[in-house]
Amino acid sequence: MSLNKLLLAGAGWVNLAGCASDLYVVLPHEDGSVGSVVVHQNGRDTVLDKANNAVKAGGGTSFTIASKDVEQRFGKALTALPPAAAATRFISRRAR
Amino acid sequence: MKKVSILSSSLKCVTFCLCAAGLLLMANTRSALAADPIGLVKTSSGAVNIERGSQKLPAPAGTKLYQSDQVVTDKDGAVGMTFIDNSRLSLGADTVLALDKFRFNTTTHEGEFVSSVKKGTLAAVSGKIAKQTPEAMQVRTHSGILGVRGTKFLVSVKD
Repeated sequence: MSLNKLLLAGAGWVNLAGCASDLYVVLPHEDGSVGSVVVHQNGRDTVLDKANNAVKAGGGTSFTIASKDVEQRFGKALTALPPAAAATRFISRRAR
Repeated sequence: MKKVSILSSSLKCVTFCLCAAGLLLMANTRSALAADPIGLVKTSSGAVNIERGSQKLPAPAGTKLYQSDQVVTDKDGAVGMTFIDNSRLSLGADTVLALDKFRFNTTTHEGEFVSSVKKGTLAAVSGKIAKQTPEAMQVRTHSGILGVRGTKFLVSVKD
């Protein structure tokens, strides 16, 4: 592993280990596809368009967050996320 | 000649009445749309409340959501919500989410969905608004603005 990769991995670990700051993450859909979000902070835009791309408050370089860390920090929210079919049922019922 | 004049006056009067009725109907329809629910609580566990104006209401599954509602979960709470543009949002424990702006045209899919995470954790899958107009769905925090271009995403905000 090159020194750059080691430093990036270290930076990602520090970012996450801090956990004290705001965090934005993009996840893959159930079918594996990934969309994108753009995070506007302090006049700087960071595009997150790869699975598990993340950026913390204050901007800076995006990094890849490990799935276990996603689960640790967002597990409860992710468990509560309704399945896609639930949204469709709501719209159908409202249309009637 | 006089007959034509009377007929013309009557026609003007009828036209005026129809226009007035139309405007009244449009105004009523507009306010009815603004009062329509924008979403629904699908799952709710632990203590989950909706702050609506000065009211604080419990939010079990089936609770309707409206623009300007603030959804609050306690230390043991979690909630999953669906919205009429097909967006899905869920909150983890100790979270405050304000549904600031929501408008959606069911025919053109144009609209705007702006929410603010004051603290806690949010998971979301964008719907038709973001698909039709990238970045028309926004999540605001005290540190930045997240513009959605159609995806599944997470936001965590430190209190």
